[in-house]
Amino acid sequence: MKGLIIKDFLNMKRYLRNVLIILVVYFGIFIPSHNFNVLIGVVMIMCSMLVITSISYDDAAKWDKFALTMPLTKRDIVLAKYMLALVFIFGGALITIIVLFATGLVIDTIPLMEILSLVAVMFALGLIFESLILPLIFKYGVERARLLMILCLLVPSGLVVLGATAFGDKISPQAEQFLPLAAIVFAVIIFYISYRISRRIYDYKDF
Amino acid sequence: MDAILKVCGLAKNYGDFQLKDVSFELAPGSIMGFIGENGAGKSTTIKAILNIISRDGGSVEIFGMDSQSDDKQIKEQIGVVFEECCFHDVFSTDDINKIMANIYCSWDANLFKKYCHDFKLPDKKRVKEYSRGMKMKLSIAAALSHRPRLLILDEATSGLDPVVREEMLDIFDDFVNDEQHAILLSSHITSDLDKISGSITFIHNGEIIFSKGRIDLLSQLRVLRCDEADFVSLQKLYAHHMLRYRKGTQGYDVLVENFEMIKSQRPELIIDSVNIEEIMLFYARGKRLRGN
Repeated sequence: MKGLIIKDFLNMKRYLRNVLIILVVYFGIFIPSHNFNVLIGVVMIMCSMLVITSISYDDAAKWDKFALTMPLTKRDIVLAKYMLALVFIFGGALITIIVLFATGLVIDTIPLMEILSLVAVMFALGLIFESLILPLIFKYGVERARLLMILCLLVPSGLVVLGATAFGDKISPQAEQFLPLAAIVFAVIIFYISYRISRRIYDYKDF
Repeated sequence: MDAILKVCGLAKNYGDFQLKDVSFELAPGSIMGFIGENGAGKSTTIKAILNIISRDGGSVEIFGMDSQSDDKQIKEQIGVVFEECCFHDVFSTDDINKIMANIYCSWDANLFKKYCHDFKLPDKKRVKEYSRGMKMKLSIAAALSHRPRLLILDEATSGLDPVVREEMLDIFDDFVNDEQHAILLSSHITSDLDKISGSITFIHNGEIIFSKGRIDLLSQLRVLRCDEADFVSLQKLYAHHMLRYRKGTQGYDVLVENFEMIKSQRPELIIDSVNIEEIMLFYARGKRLRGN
């Protein structure tokens, strides 16, 4: 499985470099305007899309059929993609935290604790987005699943906004502190369930 | 010695297409040509052998192990080449070396470099800049660098120019010089198989028509050319030896076995030797005699 992840990183080396450049531009635009919600949202969306790009590269090369002739199981291939998704989203979250905290040392108006909670919630949303889209991609392929991608992005985000509007006032400040952590735990569980579903879909997939 | 690959009653049902009771054995030290027209079931059989697709029945043994329960162990010792090069466009030979070293326990990085050097594959260029022949050589170098015992090639030589094809055939020939090795080579370019294969397995409409030694096959079968009157009279005497026939503008071509007997009794008839392509065409497009 290590070989599969190395393959994805080598394949996307140039692409990832471009993504990093775009991130630098985003940081440059949004940090001075203190528009952290949009910044973190955009970074997480970009990072969530990376694993999908890697799958579309694999499809174009007909890699999966070839990989299954190697000492790799179907399970390894699915697990490698979920690990990759996790690495990209976690990487995005980590970069955001590092950059914003580093900037916070210079500009003291940056609300660091608020940012930490926001990154945690976005990280959870990223995982939930992957949990929804990956089984669809394994089932229908990237091209057909692309139509559902917007839905997978909007539904969880919409639910969070709805939830915040409906229950925002009713949650005590103490409970609110634990919300980001609860969101991550919930997302990890969904992510694992999604992995099990994808594994099953992939087992019956024909190449 | 035990067969390297033993396929027994393999079945796969796609609704509009079925693999039916596919069975054959590949002996060590040999190259088996796996032939059939496009859509006959060659790739489906290979994918089912390799567990890339699920099967609906039958068993596959490779190196004496069950292909499903010992999947990983078996695949450490198999090299597979498909018609298309499945490496991503941006990879260099160095990238491929790094990836494969982390997939195969027995990957030999130096051996891969040696193959790339011998095949004159440029280490600076990326796969997308390779010609079709170079891509194929790269796939073969990758398939050989973990020192497999079995090579499975699915239409690997199709679309290559004759010079590169000849080079590839030499490599395959070298590979089976080791008695522990074997190759299953699916192709519809039967002239390649005329050169190197020890046995031929012919699949048509998802069914194995025959699986035999090439020399036996070519020595047993002949094509008999005759006019309609002869064709009618021959049917009465030799119907059981007339396997398939084709009607052309010049008369009838009949694929026959036991031709010595026919020749001794009807010396005036034209009986020619036959090659694998003609045999394939007889089975794929020819007709059976009624009652055969």
